Amino acid sequence: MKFEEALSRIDEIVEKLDGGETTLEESLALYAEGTKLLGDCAKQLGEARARFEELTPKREDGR
Amino acid sequence: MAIAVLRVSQLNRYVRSLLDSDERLREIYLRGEITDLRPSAPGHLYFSLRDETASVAAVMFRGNAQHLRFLPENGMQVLVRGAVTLYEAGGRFQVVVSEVIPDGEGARAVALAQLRRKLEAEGLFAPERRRPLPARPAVLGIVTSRQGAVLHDVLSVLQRKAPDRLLLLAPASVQGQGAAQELAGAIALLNADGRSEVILLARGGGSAEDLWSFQEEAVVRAVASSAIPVISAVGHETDVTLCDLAADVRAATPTAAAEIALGGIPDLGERIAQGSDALFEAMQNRLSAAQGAFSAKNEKLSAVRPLERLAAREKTLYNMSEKLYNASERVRRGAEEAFARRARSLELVSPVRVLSRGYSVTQKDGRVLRRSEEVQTGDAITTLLGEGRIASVVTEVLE
Repeated sequence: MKFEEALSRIDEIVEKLDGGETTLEESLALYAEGTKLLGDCAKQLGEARARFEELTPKREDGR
Repeated sequence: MAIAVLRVSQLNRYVRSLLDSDERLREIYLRGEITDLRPSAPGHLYFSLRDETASVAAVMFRGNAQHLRFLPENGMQVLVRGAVTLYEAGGRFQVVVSEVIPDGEGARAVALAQLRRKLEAEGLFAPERRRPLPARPAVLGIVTSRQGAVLHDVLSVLQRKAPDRLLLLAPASVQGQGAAQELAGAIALLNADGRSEVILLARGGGSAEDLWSFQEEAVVRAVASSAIPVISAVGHETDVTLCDLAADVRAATPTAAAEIALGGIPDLGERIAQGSDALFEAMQNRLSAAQGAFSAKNEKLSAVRPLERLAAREKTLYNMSEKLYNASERVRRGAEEAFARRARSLELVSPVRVLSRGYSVTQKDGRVLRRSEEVQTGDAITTLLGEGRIASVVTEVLE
C-alpha cells in the first residue's frame, strides 16, 4: 500500500515540523522528503489503474 | 349370458391397474391451489388441488414431505410433480405428489416469509453476528456478474480512492436459473482463495423476481457462514433481501459498498492536496519561528552595542534578517499564488524556489553553515544556488 505509507509518512513529517524540535536543516530535509513523496503520489495517481483479477472456480468433476 | 359379479376390492384393484399402467399418468405436472390441507401424525400431507371448476385429492408422503423447503398452506398456488393412482381402500383416485414448487407471487411471498422466520429462528440475522470490517483492506473480493455496471462502478471507486488495492472477482450469474448456486459457490470460492479481507456481494437494481436469487436459502447461508466479512448491496436502497440481513454490513448501492469497504476515505487526489497543504503550513510555521529567533538575537545585540566593530555586524545581521524576512514573505506569497493556481492540480512548493529567487545556502561537508566561525581559512565550502553549485575555498574568516 504505497499510497497509505506515503500519506502516513506525510502525517509524521507534519507532526515533526509542528513539534518544533527539529533544526532548520532537518526541517528543510523533512520538507523536501514530504514534497517528493507527495509528488510521487500525484504522479502515481495519474498513472494508477485499479487492479482486478478474476478467480476461476475449480471444477469438482475435473474438467 | 353369464354375469360377472365383482367384489369391490377387485374393481378397485382393476381400476388402479388401469391407472398405473398409463404412461402419461406416471409423471405429471399439475398446477392448482392447495385446499383442505391435513397434515397427518406420521408426517404425510393430505390435501386437495383445485382450479375454478374442479378439484382432485393429493397426498405427499413423509419421505418427500420432509424435503420441502417451505410449508404448504391453504390458498397457495403451487405446481406439483407426481403420479396418478387409485387409493384402493376408498375407491378414490389421487395424485401422489413427489415435489411441490411455489407458483406465482403470492406463494413466493409466503415461502419467503417462512424462510425468513426459519433463518431468523436460527439466529442468522442476529445483530451480534455482524463483524467489524477491516480498516484498510488491501484485497477486496467481489461477487457479481462479469457483465453489467456493478463491476465498473466498484472499479471506479477504487480508482479514485485507492488504486493500490486489488479487486478479486468471483463471477456469478445474478439472476435466473442456477444463479443461487453460482452466487453461493462464488462466496465459497473467495473464502477458499483466502486473500480477500472483505467481500462485496453486489447486484444492480431490478424487479423482485430479478433479485430472487438473493432470497434463496443457499445464498443466505453462504453469506452467513463466510469467514470473510460480507457487505451486501443488492438492488436499490428500498430492496432488502435476506442476504442483506445475513451480511455483516448492508450498503444501499454497489458504489456505496465499495466506499464503505475502503473505510469512507476521501478521494486520493483530495488526500494528497490536504497532505501538501499541511506540509506547507508546518514548514511555514517552522520558518517563522526561525526568523523570530533570529530577530530577537538581533535586537539584543542592538541593545548592548558594546563595541564599535559590532556595528558592522549588526548592520549585516539586520540586512540578513530583512532578507530572510523578505525571502520567507516571498516564499509564502509565491506559494499561495502557486497553490491558488494549481487549484487541485497538486503542484508542490519546494524550498528550491527560495534559491531560485537569488538566495543561496552554503554548506561545509554537507552541513548548512550558520556562523562564519564554523569554517576556517582553507576550508572547502559548497554554495547551493537556484541552479547549480559553486565550490569555493575560504580565504579569510570575518566575524
